[in-house]
Amino acid sequence: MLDVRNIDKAFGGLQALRDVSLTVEEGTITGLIGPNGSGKTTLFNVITGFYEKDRGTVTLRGRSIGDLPPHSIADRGMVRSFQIPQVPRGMTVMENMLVAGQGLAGENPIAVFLRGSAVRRQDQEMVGRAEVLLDRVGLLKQRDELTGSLSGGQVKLLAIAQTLMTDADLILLDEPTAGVDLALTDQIMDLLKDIHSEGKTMMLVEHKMRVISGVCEYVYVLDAGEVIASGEPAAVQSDQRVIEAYLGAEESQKARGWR
Amino acid sequence: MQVTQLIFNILTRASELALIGISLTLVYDLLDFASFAQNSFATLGAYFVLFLSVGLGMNLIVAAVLAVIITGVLGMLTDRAIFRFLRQSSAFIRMVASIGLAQGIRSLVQVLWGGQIQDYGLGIQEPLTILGATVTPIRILIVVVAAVAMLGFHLFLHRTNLGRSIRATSDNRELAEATGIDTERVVLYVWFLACAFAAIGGILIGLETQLRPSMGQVLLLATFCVVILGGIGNVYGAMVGSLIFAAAENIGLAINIGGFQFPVRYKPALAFIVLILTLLIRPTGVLGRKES
Amino acid sequence: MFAFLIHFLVMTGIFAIVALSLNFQVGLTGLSNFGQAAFMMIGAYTSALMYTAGIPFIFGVLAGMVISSLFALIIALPSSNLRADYWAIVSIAAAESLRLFVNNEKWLAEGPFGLRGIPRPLSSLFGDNYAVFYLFFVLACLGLVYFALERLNKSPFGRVLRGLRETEDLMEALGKNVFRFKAIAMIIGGLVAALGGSLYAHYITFISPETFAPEVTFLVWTMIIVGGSGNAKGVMVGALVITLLNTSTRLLKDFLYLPTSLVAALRTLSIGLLTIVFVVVRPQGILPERKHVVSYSGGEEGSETTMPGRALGGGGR
Repeated sequence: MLDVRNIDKAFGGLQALRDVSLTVEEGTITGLIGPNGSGKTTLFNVITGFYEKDRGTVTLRGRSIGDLPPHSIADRGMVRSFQIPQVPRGMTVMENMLVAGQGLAGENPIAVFLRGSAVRRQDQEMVGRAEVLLDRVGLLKQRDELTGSLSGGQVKLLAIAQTLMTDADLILLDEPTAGVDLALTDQIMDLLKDIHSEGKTMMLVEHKMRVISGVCEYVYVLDAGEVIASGEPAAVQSDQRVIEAYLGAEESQKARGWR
Repeated sequence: MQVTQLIFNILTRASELALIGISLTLVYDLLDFASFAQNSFATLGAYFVLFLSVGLGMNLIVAAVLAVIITGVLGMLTDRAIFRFLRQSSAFIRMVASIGLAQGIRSLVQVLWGGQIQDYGLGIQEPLTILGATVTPIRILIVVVAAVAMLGFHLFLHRTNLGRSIRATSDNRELAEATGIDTERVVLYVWFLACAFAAIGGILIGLETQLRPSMGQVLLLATFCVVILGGIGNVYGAMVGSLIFAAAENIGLAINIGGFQFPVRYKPALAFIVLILTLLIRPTGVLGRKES
Repeated sequence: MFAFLIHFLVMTGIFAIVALSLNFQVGLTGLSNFGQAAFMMIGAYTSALMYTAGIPFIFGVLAGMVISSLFALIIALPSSNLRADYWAIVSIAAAESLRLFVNNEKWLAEGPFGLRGIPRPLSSLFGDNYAVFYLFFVLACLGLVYFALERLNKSPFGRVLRGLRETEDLMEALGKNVFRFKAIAMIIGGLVAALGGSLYAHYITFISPETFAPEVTFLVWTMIIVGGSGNAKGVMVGALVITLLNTSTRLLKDFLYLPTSLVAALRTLSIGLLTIVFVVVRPQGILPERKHVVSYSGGEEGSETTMPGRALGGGGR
């Protein structure tokens, strides 16, 4: 479904991604792991149009999306969440969900006046859909709360609910369980499996091995901007190169005085 | 126009702009916001000299030094009174506060000294001719003072402890705090420096032209242009930016291609054009580094 | 006294309209537009020139709106992904350049001398009571603008604007063309400000480039800061408060025997101080922005809970 080939991306003198290629098959959950700074989020940003790649191609369902801006890519059916959740503090949970709706007539200011009743009807539908999704992630009670008052875990759930609201077929989640406690991690894992069973395709950036082994069918490992291994979670976890990459990263972080 | 005349005009203009530009970029760098008030501090400095020299009869140079110090101290006071409370607010709010401050200072100047045009009473200057350029001693003074100020600042930044602390805080605030630098104090000193520099700039402008309450604010666009052109947050950028801008202004106005000339009455629009071009071509500026 | 009251209310109404327009751009969308005076100028000059030339009033006003939309686009195009301070500088620069142009090109509109004796629509009908009629006219426009903008605010369109105020990337990721929304917000704000400018021109009957100096923009900004950025009722309150301050000090002049320029300077000083005080002490304004509760019937009710400390959008970064 998603075909990424030979991606290069450099920032000034730093080569963040080097000849990265990966494929996400339709209907699967694919994982993207790697030590801190290996380029996972950068790759996400390139794929979803937030960064311009220096070289390579990105194809979604056979059509090239490499040069498209993020909103066009979302239009084509691929959405993403953010590692550091983007939370518009001034809006309620319900509004956050409504804004994720696609193809809303009411987003055209002229339509708001000239097709008022149609806009209202669509809004009503969206509210209904949103309520179902919010209930699913357990946020229905908070529907009219400002997102600024949500806990970190709740924000993560909201982000996932938002991606569901877009009805996209390919969902990219950047560390959906980062900073989240054990119980909530399990809850999110179950949610992801649920979504998967509905036929959605997903790619996750993750740090927690539990999540990767529990949820992903296929995993890519990134280190210093290069894909060093790929395969099923069990195989990848025992891959010598992967272990070294993680250990190496730990060592160099210790040397730099970060730990 | 004579090349030497052109060069001298560019240097003079650059000198005036660079000082306020440094003021602006210092606040941008260490306080992380666009201060619309620096131009007003320039006005304030100029008027203090007017008050001290013409009003109280002090020697002009003494008055100038005093005015610079007073303005610097006032800068520290505004930080304590206003911007100290906005450390956690967004840069945008700090900018809005500075706009209110700019309006306040400008109108205060008008209330205290009136809106009419005034000057330092130096009389008509006898122009000299150096290398084919017609220059007045005042304009030579301006360029010299500006050069000395910038050189002094450079030495200060690299040879003194405070200067080092400022550079450290500018590079990485958390790291500076961690190594024991009192960043709040650094901020206070930076306010002093920034407003002192602005005052020098204002005084030089007052020396060359006249004083009126809007004298600093009319340069708002030009000084922001200079800073963006040179690279926000970089004091050397402000110097470079002011040279480039002054050159663009003077050369742009002097060019005459087949009878087509950039109309002088549109000179202020030149800043707009340079600004747009910079933002389109190289938004980080010539020596740019800091981009949030 | 009655005449003064009418005058005060008309000015409040006109500035309330402009404040609502700025609120739409700043409060809702987070665009730090400091060129609002230019939009007023476009509306004022266009309708004044066209009505004087004999073209029906409404067409002049609409033409002003169209031209200001173009100007809005000119500002939005290079600025779209710039942060708040750049927006501020670019918008001031653009506004000042336009003002410079009008000032220099005398063939256009008498340059610095401005336009005098701008005809007032329907003046023959109302004669001495014209001011009262004009007040109702302005209030009608204000009501229209208020309801129209509030409708947009509560609509899906408004939600995207409020979303990109703080979280642009999220909006992009959800499929919204952020540039398009910002441009449209600028255009809507611009044409409403142009309406305000037109209403001003035909009331005061004299305009010049000096009338639309940046100080006017700062005045309107103070209105939304004091009143409450992001809250339509709030900015109208802000317009009331600031206009009161503005016009009452004019009255004071007669009682205090102070020179006009001094009073003007004191006025600007107090407005500058007011801005600072509110920014530091109560940035959310007198009436803070309220959260939008979407009821099941697809309509909206306001909520009693006001939002703590949410103030002045300022760029989605």
